[in-house]
Amino acid sequence: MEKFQKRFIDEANEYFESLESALLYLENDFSDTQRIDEIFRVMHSLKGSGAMFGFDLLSEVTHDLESLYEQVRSQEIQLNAKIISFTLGAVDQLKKLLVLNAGNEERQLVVELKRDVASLLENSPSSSTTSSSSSKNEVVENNEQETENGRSFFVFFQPNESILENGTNPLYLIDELSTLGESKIEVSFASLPDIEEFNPQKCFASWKVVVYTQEDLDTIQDVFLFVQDDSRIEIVELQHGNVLENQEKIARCFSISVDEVESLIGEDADQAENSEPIENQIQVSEPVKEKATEEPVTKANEEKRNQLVSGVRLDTIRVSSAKIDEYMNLVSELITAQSHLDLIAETQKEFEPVSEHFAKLIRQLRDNAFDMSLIPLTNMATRFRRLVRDLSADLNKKVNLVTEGLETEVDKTIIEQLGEPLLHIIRNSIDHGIEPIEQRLENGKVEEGTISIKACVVGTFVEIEIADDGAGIDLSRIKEKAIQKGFFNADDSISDSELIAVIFKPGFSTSETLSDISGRGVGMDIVRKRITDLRGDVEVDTTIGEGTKFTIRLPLSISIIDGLLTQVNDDLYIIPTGSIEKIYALTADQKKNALRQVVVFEDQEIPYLDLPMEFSTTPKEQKQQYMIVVRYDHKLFGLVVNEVFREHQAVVKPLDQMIGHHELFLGASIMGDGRVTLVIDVNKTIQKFSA
Amino acid sequence: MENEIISGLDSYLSFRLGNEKFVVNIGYVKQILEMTTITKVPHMPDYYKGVINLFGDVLPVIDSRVKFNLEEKPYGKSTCIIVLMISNQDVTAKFGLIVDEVRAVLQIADEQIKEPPEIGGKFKNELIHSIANVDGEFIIILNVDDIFSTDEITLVNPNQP
Repeated sequence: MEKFQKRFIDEANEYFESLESALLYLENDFSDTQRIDEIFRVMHSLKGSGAMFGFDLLSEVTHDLESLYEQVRSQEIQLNAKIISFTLGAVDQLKKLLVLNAGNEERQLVVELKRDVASLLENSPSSSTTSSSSSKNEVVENNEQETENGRSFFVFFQPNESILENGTNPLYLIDELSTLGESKIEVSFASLPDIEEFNPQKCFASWKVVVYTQEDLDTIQDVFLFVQDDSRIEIVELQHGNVLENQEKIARCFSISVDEVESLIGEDADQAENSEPIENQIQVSEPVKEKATEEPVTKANEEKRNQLVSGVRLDTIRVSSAKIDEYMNLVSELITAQSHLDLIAETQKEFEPVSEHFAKLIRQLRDNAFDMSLIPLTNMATRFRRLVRDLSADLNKKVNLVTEGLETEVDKTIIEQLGEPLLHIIRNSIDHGIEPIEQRLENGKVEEGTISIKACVVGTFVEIEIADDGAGIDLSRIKEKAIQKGFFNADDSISDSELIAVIFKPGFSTSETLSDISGRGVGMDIVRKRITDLRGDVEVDTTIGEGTKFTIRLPLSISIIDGLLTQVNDDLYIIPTGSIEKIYALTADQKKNALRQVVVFEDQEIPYLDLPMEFSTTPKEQKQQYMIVVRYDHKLFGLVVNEVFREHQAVVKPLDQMIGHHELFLGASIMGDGRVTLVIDVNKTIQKFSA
Repeated sequence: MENEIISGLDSYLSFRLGNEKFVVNIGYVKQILEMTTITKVPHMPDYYKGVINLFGDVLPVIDSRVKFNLEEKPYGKSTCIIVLMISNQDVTAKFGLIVDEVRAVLQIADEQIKEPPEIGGKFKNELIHSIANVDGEFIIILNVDDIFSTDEITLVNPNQP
C-alpha cells in the first residue's frame, strides 16, 4: 500500500502541474473548453485516487473544486479571473494536503477552502440568466414534442482490460447510460479467454447499447469521460425518433461488428431527415488502431477528432528515473563486456565479424540510453510562468514572459538542479530589474516589462539566456556596497567585470530592504555554485536603463563527457576536453627555469600544477612532459602530465561513497578493458592549488 | 537485499590474514571477488588501495593487512576481495576488503561468542567485535561497522553534497 501511496504522490504532483499549466492558459482565454474539461478531469481523478489511497482531506477539497468546475463546464458559472486566481491558490493548498496524517492545521485549511468554494459558487454570476432560462424553455418544448425530437444512438463500449484496477466499475457507466432514456443493452464476452488464462481481475466484456434519449451526443460522450483514454468507445447517432420498436433494426445493430458501425448510419440517412448523420458521428477514441479509411467529415469535426485522438495516443510512457539509471548501468556493463569480446576476437578470427556487429549495436544502444535521460526544458516552463504571474501581481508590475527554444533537451540531473537557480534569477529580474509601471512610463518605456528566456544548443553545451528590459544593475551602487563590505579598498581601480563578479559573492545584496521575494531561498552565490557544480558557468551583461542579461552555459549531459586520456606517472587519468585550451610540450629545462611554478608560453604567464609530483612521492621524471592548458575563470592554468594519448568518451560514475580527499576528481570512468580511470575535476583542482 | 545489511544471522564467513583467522557476519557480505586491477587514487591513506570496477560501479578497496597493522605482502593466487556493506548514521556504502584467503562459512551460536579481552591483543580493539570459540579455537569476529571509526575516511552520501 505504501508503494501505491508514494506513486499517488508522484502522480498528484504531476496533476498539480497540469492544473497550473491549464489555469495559466485559461487566464488568457476563458472560453478554452478543452482546458476547462482538463481541470475538471484532473480534479475528479485527484478526488477518486486521493480517497482510495487515504488522502481524505485532499479528496474532500477536490470534490468541491470538481463541483465548481462542473458548473463552469456546463456554463452555469462564467469563468473569470477571480475563479482562476482562487484555483491557483487552492492548488498550492492542495499540495499541503498531500499528507497522510493530517493535523489540525490541515483540517483548518480544508474548512477554509471549502468555505471559499461555497462562496464562489453562490456569488459567481451565471453565464447569463436569460440564456439558462431560455434553455429551460427549450427543454419544456422538447418534452412536448418528445416523439419528434428524441434521438437514437448506438454505443459500443469496450473497456480496457485493466479498467477494474483503477476502481472503475464499467457496469455503473452502462447504468448511467440507460438512465438517459430507453435502452436496449447487449453484452458480449467474445474476448473472454479460456479458463486457464482467465484473470478475474480483468474485464473481458464489451457492451453494445442502443439508447433512445432526449439528450445530445455530448451528454452521451460525457458518460465515458473518465474512461475514454483507454477504452474503445464508438458512438453513432442512428436517427431521430425511436428505433427501439424496430426489432429488425435492433437485431442488426447487435449483430454487426464494431468496424461496421458506420454502415448503420448510411442506411438511415434518407429516413432521418435532419440528423446529419456523418457530422454527428464522432469516433471518440481508439487507442488500438487508426481507421484505415477515413470517413468524409466536416472540418470542425475533423479537428475535434484529431484533438481527441492525439490526446489519446500513448506517445509517452512514465518510467521511474531509477529504472533509467539502471538501464544506463547495464549499457555501460555491456560496453565493458563487448571490449572483452573484442580482445578474444583479436586472437580468434572467426569471432571478428560478430564482435564488430555487437560493437555497432551497443554503440546505438548507448546513444539511445543517453538520449532517454534527456528532458526538454519545457518541463520547467510552467514554474516560470507561475512565478512571473504571481510575483508581478504581488509587486504591482506588469511583466510579460517570452520563451524561445525551451524544447532544447538537457540531462535530467541538470534539469533537477537547475530549477532553483533559474527561478532565483527570474525572481531577481522581476523584483530588482523590471521597474514599477510609473517609473517605466517616466523613462519612456512601455508599461509592460519583458523577461525573455531563450535556450539553444552550442556544440556540446546548452546556453540559457535570461534577459529583462528593466533598470539594469547600477554598478556604482555595487561598488559602494562592495567597498563598504570590505571586498575592495576605496581607492582601488575596479573593472566592471570585477564588480559584476561581486554579485556572486556570498552575503552580498544591493537591495536596501531585503524583500520577501529575492531574500528567500538561494542567493546569487548559490546560483553560481549550483551552476559550476554542473560544470557550467554564468555570465552577466548589464546596461543601466536597458536591462540585464544572464547567460548560463551548461554541458548537455553530466554523465557523459568528452575527455582527453592522459598518463600521470604510470596511471591513466581523464581530463574533460571542454575546458582545455591548448597543449604544450614542456621540457625538463623549462620546468627547472620556471619561477614559482609559472611558465611563459606565447608571452603569457601560465601558472601550472605538476600532477606527477602531486600524485606521487616518487614522480616519474621525463625529458619531455606535456602541459595541458585549461581555462578557469577567464584565466589560463596548466596541468602537467607525462603522456597524452587520445580523446575518450567517458561515462562518469560517481566515486564511491567513502570519502577522503576526493575533491580533485569528478568521478571515475570504466574503460573498455574493465579498468577504472579517474576523471580530474579541473575547476576544483585549480581552486585547491591556486588559492 | 542488494544494498542492505541483514542482521540476526548466525552464519559467518571466515578468512585468513597470515596465520590469523577472522570471521565476519554473513549479513555484511555482498560478494567475494577474485583479485583484480586496482586503480590508485592519489591523496588517500596507505591502506586505501584504490578503486575497482564492480559490475559497472566504482568500489573502493581496503587492504586489510595495512589496515590491521600487519606486514604488507604481495598479492597471491588465493588473495580475494570481500565486498562488505557498511552503515553509519543512515548512510550505507559498499567497500572491498582485501584478504589473504577466504575459507568457509561457519555456524556460530550466540553461546560460543564472548566479549573480547580488554588488553593484550595485537589488533586494535575497535576492529574486534567479539571472540568466538569454535571447537576450541578462538576466532576474532570483525567489527565491520566501526572499521573506519578512527580514520580520516568518513561515509558521505554522494547525493547530499
